[in-house]
Amino acid sequence: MTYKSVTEILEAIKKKDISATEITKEYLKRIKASDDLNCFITLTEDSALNRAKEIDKDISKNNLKPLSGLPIAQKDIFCTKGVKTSCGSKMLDNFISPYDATVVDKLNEAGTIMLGKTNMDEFAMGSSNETSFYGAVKNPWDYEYVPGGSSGGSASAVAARISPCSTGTDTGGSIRQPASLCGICGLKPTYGRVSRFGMIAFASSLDQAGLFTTDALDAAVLLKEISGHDPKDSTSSTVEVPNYHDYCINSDKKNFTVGIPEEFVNDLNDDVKNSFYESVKILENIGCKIKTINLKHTGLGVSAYQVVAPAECSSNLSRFDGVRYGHRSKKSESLESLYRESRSEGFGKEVKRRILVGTYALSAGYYDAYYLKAQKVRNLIAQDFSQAFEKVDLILGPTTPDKAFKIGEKMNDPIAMYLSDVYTVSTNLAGLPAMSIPMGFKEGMPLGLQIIGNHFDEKDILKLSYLYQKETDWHVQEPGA
Amino acid sequence: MGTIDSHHLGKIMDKNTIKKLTYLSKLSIPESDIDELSKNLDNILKLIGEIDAAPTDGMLPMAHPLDFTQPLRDDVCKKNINRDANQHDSSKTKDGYYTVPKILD
Amino acid sequence: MYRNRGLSMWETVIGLEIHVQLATDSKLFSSSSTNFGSEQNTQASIIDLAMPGVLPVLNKKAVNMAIMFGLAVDAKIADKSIFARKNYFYPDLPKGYQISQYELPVVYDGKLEINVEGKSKTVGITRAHLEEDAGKSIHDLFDGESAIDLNRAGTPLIEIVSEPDMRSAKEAVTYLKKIHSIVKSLGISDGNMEEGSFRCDANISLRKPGEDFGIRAEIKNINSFRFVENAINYEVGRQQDILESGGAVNQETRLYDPKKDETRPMRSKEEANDYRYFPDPDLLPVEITEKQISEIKKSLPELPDAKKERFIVEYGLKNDDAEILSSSLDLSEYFEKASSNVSSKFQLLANFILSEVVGLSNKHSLDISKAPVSSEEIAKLVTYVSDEKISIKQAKEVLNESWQNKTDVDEIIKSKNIEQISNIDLLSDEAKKILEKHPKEVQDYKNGKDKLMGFFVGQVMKETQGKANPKALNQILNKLLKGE
Repeated sequence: MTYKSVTEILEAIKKKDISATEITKEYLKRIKASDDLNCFITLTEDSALNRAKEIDKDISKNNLKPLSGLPIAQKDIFCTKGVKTSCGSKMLDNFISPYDATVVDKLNEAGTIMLGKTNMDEFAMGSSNETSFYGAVKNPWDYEYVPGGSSGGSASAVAARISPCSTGTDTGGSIRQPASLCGICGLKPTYGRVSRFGMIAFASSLDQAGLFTTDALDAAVLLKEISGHDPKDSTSSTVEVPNYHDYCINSDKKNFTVGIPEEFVNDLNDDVKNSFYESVKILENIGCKIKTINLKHTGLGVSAYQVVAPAECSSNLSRFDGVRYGHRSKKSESLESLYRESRSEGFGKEVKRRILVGTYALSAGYYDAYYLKAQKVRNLIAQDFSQAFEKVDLILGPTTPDKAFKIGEKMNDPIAMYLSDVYTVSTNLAGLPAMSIPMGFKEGMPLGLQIIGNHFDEKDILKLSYLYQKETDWHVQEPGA
Repeated sequence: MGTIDSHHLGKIMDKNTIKKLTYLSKLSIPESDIDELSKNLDNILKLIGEIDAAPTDGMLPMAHPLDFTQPLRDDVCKKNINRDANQHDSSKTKDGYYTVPKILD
Repeated sequence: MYRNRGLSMWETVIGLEIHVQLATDSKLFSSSSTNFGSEQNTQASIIDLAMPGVLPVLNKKAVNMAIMFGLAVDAKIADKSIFARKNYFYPDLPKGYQISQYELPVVYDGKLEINVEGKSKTVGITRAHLEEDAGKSIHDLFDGESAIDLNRAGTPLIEIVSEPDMRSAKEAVTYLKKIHSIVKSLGISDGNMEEGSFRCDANISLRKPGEDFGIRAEIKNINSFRFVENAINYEVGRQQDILESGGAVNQETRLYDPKKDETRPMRSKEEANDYRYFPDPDLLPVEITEKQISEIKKSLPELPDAKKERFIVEYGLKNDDAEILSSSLDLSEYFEKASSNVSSKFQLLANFILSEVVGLSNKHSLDISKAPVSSEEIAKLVTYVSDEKISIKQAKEVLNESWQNKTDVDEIIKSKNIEQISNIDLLSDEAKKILEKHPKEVQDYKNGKDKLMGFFVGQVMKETQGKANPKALNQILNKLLKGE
């Protein structure tokens, strides 16, 4: 059984070429056979098969939902009722969530079958999936290389074809960067497009739930199902959700004006540069007009991000205190030691570093110079984008400066790790939607092309990606093929 | 204190500062890790210190990327609390209370 | 024991922070019930418990109640206000931060006029902001452990911060009572101090008049008007002693112990804390329009100042009496209930309530709402006095007895045969008898010793067991003494 995409699977299920149970069994088999990738923290085999059975019953009564029978992997940052939700951390190793995240709920309602919870950098802090309590995830293209992070497990699973799609979250690039390093599509919607309720918070004003798929059309289908206003999330938007799939297939739009920021292409190495400009040529052939633009303050993105995100996370992670759930240390003679020991035992090094930096940035005497200043820089960066979008429809650049790096290569150099986010963080700071799609290879390892849109313009990003993928076949390449 | 004091950028995260921060954030760092931590944190501060030179005069801080206002919820009480499910980790509770080492006030 | 003794060289500076629980059905940021007294943690939802991934959504009614309060104290209402996180660790604070307001509170720049011992004074209200309440920790339930109940966590509060404008315990208590009356009149809080829905922190310092503010101590969580007065008096004495012996007052948080009637330092959960306030990224700015405000203004119930005006106009009360009666909701309710049973002698009723009923309440350390003599009974007494059925002195005695023994006023009057003797003939007979008995005193009175009238009155009173109507008696005696 080889279905290349979500749309193929949905079609096959609708036509009754395959049952939900059969396809679920197939993916479970593949997952178990690829255990060494370490993509999954929890495999929900029994419940997946039970659910598949129920869905098959519904299908036999012609009661079909938009995604009936579609297996999916959920990043272990989404709360799943009755199922362990660890967020990649020892702190939540024993946590069984009493409720479902809205994203999980919506996907369940739409008929998907959850295969399991995927591995991730601890509390979404990382760009390589090496900070997970459950061990590093491997890049299926070369097991010595990182898949990227923090949604490494979700990306690797889709790239390895052991799950047809998966969910992820993106705070500074945690969907797009792993998508780029793993040669698949990774979509981060506009901030507020998708509900954050039930998504364990890292940096509340930057976090957004998103998707991994093998092609853009799949992302369009799934995006519609997870988007929309959620009254349980005050920051979720009421902007109408279009039919993205319909727009991709049926709209005539192709003459996009695409801007390439000088700042995104100045320091590229030759391989990445060549791949990138070949892609630009393809877009021109499709009918796009290419313009050079400037995003003057992009260079400050990583610095501003590394103030805002740690500051918000230092507060968001205070609830993990060992009192009501999660890891509680045995060394608790006093309240103070209960707090300190539970948290110090439960959190890894990177998380602790970010909490300390964040605490510093918010502390008395430093708040103005760090947090407040970073929020102003954020405004500068957002202004750059809004000025650019007056001249262009979409913005283009490579997703990452280079291909994947080796496991262990950057673990002792947090700064080097942070700088690999240089092309992705600005979009989070400005709340913009962006997608990474495969654009080629360097030394056998995938490279990614990033398309950024204006607020709530996901449909144009998806349309352009869809058109690009009609002219290229990077996205159908599979590791080990 | 309005701007980052670049003269001291190399040595901000000394033992005392780390001690204060770990107190506020309820973490404990073993002595043996302090040196490495201090170095890493100072490097991070150097990186983020780059925002100091940013031309932000007259700019407002951006707390949210989108310009929306807070939606309001009707004052309706929902009786949907399942204490047992919430307290399924019984190692932390007694008779429905959460328990911690005795606090002296 | 410190007591407030002669502060001639020191000026007391008091500011109050009042936490008022709002009477909403659901919590500030979650839909859990706010009922008091439920079994532990049965009103703590996943949001109140700060489960991973949960998010706050703001209660509309709580915002409206805050606006109502702002209008009642002549304050400005922010057109955009921001929620901020106050970060600190304590088991009754599940998120490790409290959602409160820091810069840009919903209400600011208000004021309240109070009347203390005949003098009017304006107390500034710096701000009133919305915030969520913490849960409860109980330290004596389990051995070696503290028990945490999060039912209360997330209940909406407004914190009302006054300017440090008060200069005595009496001013502080008057202000406190007026705020209490306002929030109850508005219906935004039940103001139940025992249940903790109205709590007061007092900031107290001393200074030499004209100098800068001194170091202040904060007394936290005082939950009765009486305790507030006592705590302030104790604290002022304590600080006076320290300063007069050349020491310096510590800036610290203290607790008031009502059993020992003293304040002591608190081993504070918020000690040495840097709260690292920053705008809560899970909540957006709260927008309040002029239209909303004017709609709320139209529907405001009667406030103390309006009540005072109404008492003056409707009941013909004196300004000061109207001020005092209207400034306490319990007192005004007591008065109005009684007044509906009294035909016209409202000022008499007011006097009687203000001197006797309030006096007894104070003596027995009771709030007037707990007075054992009902307003209907008081109304009866006042009616009898105005009908000259009994004298004021007798009314006071009946009241005292009714208060002590919880017996009906009518029963006491009947059983003690207290009825005033107003019958002219009867009184004339008694008066004549007395005058005949004391011819020397009569002569002295006629020669100018006017004071002897009191003696004659007293003698008749003795003969009549105090039941003679004093007014009538005076008239009769005057007539008899002049006439002869």
